[in-house]
Amino acid sequence: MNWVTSPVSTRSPGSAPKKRRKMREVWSRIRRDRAAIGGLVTLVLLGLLAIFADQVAPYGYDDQNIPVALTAPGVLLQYPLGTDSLGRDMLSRLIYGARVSFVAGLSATGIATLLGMLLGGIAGFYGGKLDNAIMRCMDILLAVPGILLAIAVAAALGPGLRNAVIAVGTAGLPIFARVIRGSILSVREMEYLEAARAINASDLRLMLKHVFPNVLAPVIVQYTLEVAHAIMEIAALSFLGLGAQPPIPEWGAMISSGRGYLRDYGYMMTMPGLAIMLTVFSVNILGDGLRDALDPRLKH
Amino acid sequence: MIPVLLGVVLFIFVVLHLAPGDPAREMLGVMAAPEDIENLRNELGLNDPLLLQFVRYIGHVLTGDFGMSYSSRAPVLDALLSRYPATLTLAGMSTLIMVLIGLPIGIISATRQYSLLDRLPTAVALMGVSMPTFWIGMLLVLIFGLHLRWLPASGFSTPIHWILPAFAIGFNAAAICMRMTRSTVLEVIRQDFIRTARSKGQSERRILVHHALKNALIPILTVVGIQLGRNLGGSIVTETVFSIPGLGYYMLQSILARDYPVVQGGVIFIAATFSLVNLGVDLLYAFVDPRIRSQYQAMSKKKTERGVAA
Repeated sequence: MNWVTSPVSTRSPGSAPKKRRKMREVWSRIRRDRAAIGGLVTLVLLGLLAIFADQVAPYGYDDQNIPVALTAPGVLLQYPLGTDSLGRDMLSRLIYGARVSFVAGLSATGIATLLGMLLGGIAGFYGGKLDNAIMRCMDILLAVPGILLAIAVAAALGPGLRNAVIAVGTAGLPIFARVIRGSILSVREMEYLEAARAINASDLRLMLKHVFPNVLAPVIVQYTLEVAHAIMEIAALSFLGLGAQPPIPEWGAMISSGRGYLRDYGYMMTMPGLAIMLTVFSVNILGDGLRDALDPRLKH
Repeated sequence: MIPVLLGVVLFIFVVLHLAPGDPAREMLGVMAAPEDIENLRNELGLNDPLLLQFVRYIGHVLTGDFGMSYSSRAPVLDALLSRYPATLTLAGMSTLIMVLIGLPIGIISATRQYSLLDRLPTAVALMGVSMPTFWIGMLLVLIFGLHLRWLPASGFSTPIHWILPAFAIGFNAAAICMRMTRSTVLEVIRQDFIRTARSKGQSERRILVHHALKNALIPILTVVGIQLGRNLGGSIVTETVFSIPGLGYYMLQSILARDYPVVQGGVIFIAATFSLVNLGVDLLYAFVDPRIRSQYQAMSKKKTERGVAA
């Protein structure tokens, strides 16, 4: 092969100017996707609510006012969304709940992504026995339905929001490892990797500078969709009593505490559920839009 | 499949034994004397090395002995077997609902892309995947159980009781199935062989059924299989909402009570079911796809040839 004169650049497609251009291209595609922009705007607003919950929320999340307990939404002006069984303002609890759900969902997915990139990266990059061993372990984790795995891990670590986050992260890990391994396998034989190897680049350099930038697209999409998933799973764990403990205003825990008042005070259960739905819905349409923008071939 | 199941058991075994709390103390109560707790720990084999406990457990499981429940002192296997049918029924019914709703709507919206018949179901499906199943379940209870009083809000004794929980899981699953069906069918109907079929003047109906769906079947089957497994997992949470005496509800109570043998047995049951479903899907692949079937045949032929040579 006439590789001396072949115009193979050691610069991978992930290098700076090209990358910036690609990002601009992706952004311009997303901008035309009205649904995705709607999701993004909603998420930014919810994120701002979460960050500035202390300033925005009219009451603290654990301020009890027993005399007005179980006020329906719209009855009292001071409590536009009503109060729960302890006389706490529903609106304030929902706003603080956004903070809990965002932090928990993002960190659970962060755990899954980091570990998944590490394991899937090693498996895909080195191949062979190591690949086999790692992926068989992932198969084992995949042989148990995700929520059951999360329940088992959460039970072992003990109830609590932090442990629920670790549990949901563990349950999400195998899918990330698979996605990342798959995309690394698809770039592993590329010429720019060979070229970089030819100039004696270290494995670490190859991974960080040449492999990861080129497999980023599926990871970003998977991350976004997994955040939606994680928020729902953490809510489910809290609903079962394995996640956030009272008085933390986690949406799933709020739904759980509304269970006993279902017949007469249904709003205690419906409103946190709507909050989950709005958040997860926004994340999902943003994720769908991102997928279409990053890989237009998949667009439907 | 067997090694994977062994791995699952090992994983759950280690995870549960790392858990804080002592089952012996749990059984005897806080007032128990330390000697009694120590005796019970010895009796239950909890003081042996973890690996020894694991090997012993596997040996027992292979002979059909899943151990005794710490809390009820009854054989775990009997308790699991009596609760297993409810969970299986629930997962099966919700998968049925998923296929009945998700599949046709997915096909329709793919063939009518960008029309109202596409946009509306797509939006509803996106909302469907964004709602936690336990919340859907409680909404159904609120509307159909408490306000309209059409259907019972809890229990699982008669088929009427099955409707709400099955729909709670089925709705979410149908949304996922619909999205997958739609994108798969869309991918297939853009292929060249569909254009060829059209140019031959074949009817749209024949093109859809004989050319498009036949090729879209494999990814759809995969999703149905995966989803059946996830519905099994979803039933754990949903059983709690509807107080269904199934495997999931029982396991959850056992988790809270640190009843390890029950949890381990339950996980084995669910993981084994999950693996069997996946195996079944793999076999179905061969049934629907002649390409895969011929691969299997080539493999078995090779095997017999080798057998003859040896």
